This record gives sequence, structure tokens and C-alpha cells, in this order.
Amino acid sequence: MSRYILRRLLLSIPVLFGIVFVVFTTARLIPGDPCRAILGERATDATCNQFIKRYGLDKAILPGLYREHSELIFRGDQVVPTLVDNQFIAYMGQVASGDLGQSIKQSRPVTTMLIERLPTTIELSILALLFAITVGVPLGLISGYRRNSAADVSTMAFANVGVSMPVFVLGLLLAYLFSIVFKGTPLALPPSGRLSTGVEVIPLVQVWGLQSLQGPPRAFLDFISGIYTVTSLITGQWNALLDSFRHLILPAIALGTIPLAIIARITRSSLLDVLGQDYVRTARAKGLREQTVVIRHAARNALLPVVTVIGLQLGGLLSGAILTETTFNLAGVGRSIVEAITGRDYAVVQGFTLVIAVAYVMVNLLVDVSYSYVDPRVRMR
Amino acid sequence: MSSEPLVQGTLVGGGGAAPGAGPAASAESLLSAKPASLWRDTLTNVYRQRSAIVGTIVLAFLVFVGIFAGPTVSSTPAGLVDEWPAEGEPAGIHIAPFDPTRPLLGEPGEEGLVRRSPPCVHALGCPAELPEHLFGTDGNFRDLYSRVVYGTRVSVPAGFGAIGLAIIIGTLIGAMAGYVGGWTDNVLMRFMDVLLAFPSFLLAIIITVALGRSLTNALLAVGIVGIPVYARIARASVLSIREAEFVAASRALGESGFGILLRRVLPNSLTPLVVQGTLGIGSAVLEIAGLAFIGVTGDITVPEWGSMISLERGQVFNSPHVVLIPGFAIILTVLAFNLLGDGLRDALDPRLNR
Repeated sequence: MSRYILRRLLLSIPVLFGIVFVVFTTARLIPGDPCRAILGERATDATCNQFIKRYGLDKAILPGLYREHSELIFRGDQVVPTLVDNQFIAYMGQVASGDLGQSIKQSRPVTTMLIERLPTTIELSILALLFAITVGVPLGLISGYRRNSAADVSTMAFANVGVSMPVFVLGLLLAYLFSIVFKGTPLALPPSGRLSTGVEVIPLVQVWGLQSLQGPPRAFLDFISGIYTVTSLITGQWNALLDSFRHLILPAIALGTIPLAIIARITRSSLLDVLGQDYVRTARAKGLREQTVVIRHAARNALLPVVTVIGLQLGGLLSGAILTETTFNLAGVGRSIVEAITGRDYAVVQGFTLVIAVAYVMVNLLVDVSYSYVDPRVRMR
Repeated sequence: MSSEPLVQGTLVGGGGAAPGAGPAASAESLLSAKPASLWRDTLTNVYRQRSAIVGTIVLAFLVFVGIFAGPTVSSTPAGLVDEWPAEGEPAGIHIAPFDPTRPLLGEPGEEGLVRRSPPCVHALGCPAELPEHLFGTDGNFRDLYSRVVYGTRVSVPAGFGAIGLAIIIGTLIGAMAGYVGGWTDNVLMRFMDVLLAFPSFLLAIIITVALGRSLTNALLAVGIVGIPVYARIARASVLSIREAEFVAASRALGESGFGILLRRVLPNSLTPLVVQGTLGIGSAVLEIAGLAFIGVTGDITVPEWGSMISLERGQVFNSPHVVLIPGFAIILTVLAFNLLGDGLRDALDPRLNR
């Protein structure tokens, strides 16, 4: 088992390297002059030259490939001299030492920005996935068990519409329903942001009096403090807990609906498969209660493919998070990346995408490994 | 993103799953029966699926709306139109009553027009002094109905285009990897793994911005990020078909490697590609709309559903129709492709027949 995990980890290194390479080059192919994109159209040539020197943008991007203002130039004679001395190698060295660079736009380390933005996305994604699983699996089971009943037909119709719905349309529809139509009723929910004005979550270091703490432990505590629901729960800030949770409901539903629909469909077809198998007939024949047959015998096996699908959905959640965060004005990773891409903030684009790619690869590994626990027939080699 | 082919060799030998043509059928009935045709059998199977019928009807409707939307519109900032027919002028069939890019403020017959006016149909009790607009108007005094109708012309072909690109390039890469094998296979498929190990929408944003913000580049980007899925399907089908006896026969007859790949192997691995492709168009339409929504597709005067929503999303609380109507258009389009894709899959994948 540990050999399998180790092998998978080693295999993911070239994939991650490939991702860094693809993102690095694509980000630098973005047309336009990075200096003027950041300092403004009226920056003088002298300022720009200084700016470009300062951030090492005058070096070759890849061996022989240069950017001069808004143009990409390939110099054949410079390939060999810049084989090692180029921006890509410099960036890889930096990453290897744990430094993701500085945001040019905000003059802050990318890691600091990650600590600020990542919790929002994680909190949102986890809640969305929980919603998708807790609603999707039971719906799928009911619909598979009562095949062709009204419940089945309506669930599948709902699932069909669910997978066809853009996250942002659903998000805006929910925002309209819950903040305008249900205004003044107990169902009213806030349509944007993470907390109401006046409400704040006191960070862990402050609650526990650890302001003097520095380095990674401090970063870790700040990171957890960014997950408002968790922080307010463990420190007993009930008002903030309720408020941050209420702000999360609509985005989580918007983000979780597509995975929910997919999970419900897979659960249904998988249960149908299992219910037709011989061992289910045997279980019924030996006189077990229907409830036991379906829940203990059939559903447990039917949920195996669902685990895989849930794992696959995690990747999709990130794509959805970009749109959800834009729709609900949440300052998470997704929205930050879009802002960085359009603003040519290279270090942020690279740092954030690298972290996402690592998370993506790790989640896939975790899903594969967990599969062998759920299904003892699967042995990892 | 299944790595397995959805259908493995369903149509091998060109027989298909013709009902009643099993080995038990007597030789005589076979002689008198019409020769089984691959396409007819497939069609019969497909249109036994309710979802495929519904999907096709909705798609046909959308294609009709797209074709007969109206004259070609050039989207200049002023909203000028090449030849928008004047009142009373014969103009053939056109569904959109107005130029989708032209602000109607101050036009004759538009007295009393307000920004983002709600839908107004005189027959349904809207006061006669207000100008008639089926879906109301948007924030630039443009007729929303005409814009949504013209949006069909953008989104449906864009979905087809993106997936067409992904299928063509993906199939070429996958078929080459599967057929040649060895070193080529390894390099190509590892590169595909890199693309797959990444949230596709994020990659599509980066590619769109890198290529230059426009709708065409968004289409290209969505096509590019879709390539690995089809490459994997094509490779898996090719691997399973490569060893079939009829391929060995072609080789014995002296056909070249490329000829075998093109004429024997590829046609037989088409089914899973078509099924996945139909489902893929739905997601492509979603992704392109998403790219437009976050604003990386450039020209916002183009009547594209995603950018229409993006432009007015702050107004959802006051004038929900300007956001929700284009939204429903996206849902309808994606739903149609998904239903058709589901129907195709159920019809062509014998493992799911129950």
C-alpha cells in the first residue's frame, strides 16, 4: 500500500512539472506589455525599463525567447547562453525553495495572499460537496429503488436540468429569490459577501492571545481563522457562526447543484445494477426484510461507483468556484486567479494555479487510495 | 472524464445490434430481409429513447431559430446593421423584430420606452401606449427578445465548433498514440495527462486571455481543453480494435498502416466519440457562456447569452428578466444536447440496455 502511494506521488511530479511549465509559458504569452498593464498606460519608458529589470522580466522567458514590450521575439543566437539563465529556471528554483514569489500588483508575497483567499474557496467547496452528497445520494437511492415512480421521474428531470444549468444563472436566480422574493420572511438569505456588516470573526491568534507567534504556525492559525465557520465554532462566536453560515448557503447550493445531479444519477443507475444481481435475490429469498436487503446489502455496493464520481467532482468544483465567487462577490482563489490573469500578475497566476494543481493531484490520489478501503476487492499495486 | 470508452466496439463488423438479426434467425428470413444498414439500425435504436426525441426536437427548434433569426448583423459600436429591413419592406422570414445591437431609445414607435423595461405584450394586457417587447429591453434600450434570438446563432455553432475541434484533434492524437504505441504513445498521453490534471475551466480562461480576448478564441480554448478526453477515448477504442481480425485481414491484403487506421480502425471507434461529443457540446456551451460571464470574450455588443448576463448581473434584484431570460436560453440549449447525448448513449451502449 505505502509502495503504491509512494509510486503515485513520484509519478505526479512530472505531471506537476508539466503543469507549471504550461501555466508559466501560457501566462507569458498573454499579449500586451506587462509593465503598462500594471503601472498604467502612461508609464514612461524609463519607468518601464526599471520595472522590467526589477522583476527580472528582461531575462529570456525560455531559452532564446524574449518579450520586448508587447512583442515576443525569438533570438536563435541567444538559445545556448540562456539555457540555464532564463525566467523559467529561475522560477523553478524559487518554487523548490518554497517561495511562490511576489504579487507585482499588490507588492505582497503570493503565499500571504493564498493564506487569505484559500480558506474561502475551501469552505465553500466543502459545504457544496456536503450538500451534493447528503441530498444527491438519498435522492438517487429512492429514485433507483422506486424506478419509474413519480419520485423517480421528477428526480431525474430535476437532475437533467441541474446538470444543464450554468452555476452563475442558478446563483443569480437564488440570489433574486432569497433576497427579494422572500424578503421579510424567515427564508431570506444574504446574496453576497461572507459576513454582514458589523459582524466579524475574531482570528484564533487574537482569541488565544498568541499575537507574538510568527512563521509557519502563525500562518497555519491565520489560515484556519480564514475558515469562518470553523473558527467561530471552535471559539464559540455563535453570532458570527450563524451569520457566516447563512452567507454560505446560497453559494454552496449554486456550486453543489451540478455535482448533486451527477451523484443522484450515478447512485440511481448503480443501485439499479446491483438490485438485479443474484446475491440480492438470495438475500430476499432467505427472508431478510426489504429494508435490510436494500440498505445493508444493495446500497453498500451501489455506492462504490459513487465514491469515484465524488472524487471526480472535486476537480469540477474548482471550475465552478471561479463562477460562484464572481457571482456572490467572494474573495476566494477562483476570483483572485481571474483577476490576476486579466491583470497579468504572473506570480499570482502561477502560484495559485500551482497550489490548485497540487491539490487536484492529491485529491485524485486520495480518492484512489480511499477506494481500496471502501472496496476490499480493489488492491493497490 | 471517463478514461474508458463508453462503448467498446459496439459496431464492430458493421452489424450493430439489429433487432431480430441474431444467430437464431433462419437463413431464409435473412435472405428475404432487407440488408441491415449501420445507420438505419442506429437511428431506429436512438429514436426509441424518449430523451433523444425530446433533445432532437428542442435542438431542431434552436437551429430553426438560429437560421431564421434575421439578417446578418455587423456588431459595430453604433449598432449599425448591414441591411436591417425597414418597416413594411419584404425581408423574408425573420424571427427577431429588431436589430439586436441597436439601442431603441428615441426610435419611432418607441415612445415611453424605459431602460430595462419588463416584458410587454399588448395581447396579454400590457397598456397600449407602451412599446411592445416580448422579453422587455436591456440596460442599453435594446430589444431583449431579439438579442436572445440572435444568441442562438452564437452559442449553438460555438458549442459545435469547440467540440468539433476537440474531437478532430483528440482523435488524431489518440488514434496515433494507440496505433503506433511505444514511445509516441507515452509522450502524447503523458501530455494529455498534464492537461487533464488541471481544472479545465481555469485552463480555458488562461488560453483565452493568452490568445486574445474574443469569442472565437474562447471557442478555441474550450476546444483545446476538451482534447484529452477524446484522445483517451480514441486511443482506448483503437487499442481494442487494432487486434480485430478484420484489421489483420486488411493488413494481409497489403493496406498501408495509415490506410488501415483511417478506413478500418477509425470508423469503428466512432460511436463512443459521437456519444461523448454530444454530451460534450452541452458542457462546451456552458463553458463558453461561463467565459463570457467572467468577461474574457471581448466585444460585449455581440448578443451572446453569457455576456448578456454578465453585463446586467448587478440588475438581477431590480430587473430579473434581463438576467434570467438569457439564463433560461442557456439552460434550454444545454439540456437539449444533454438529452440527445443521454439518448445516444443508452441506444448505442449495449451494457446499459435494460
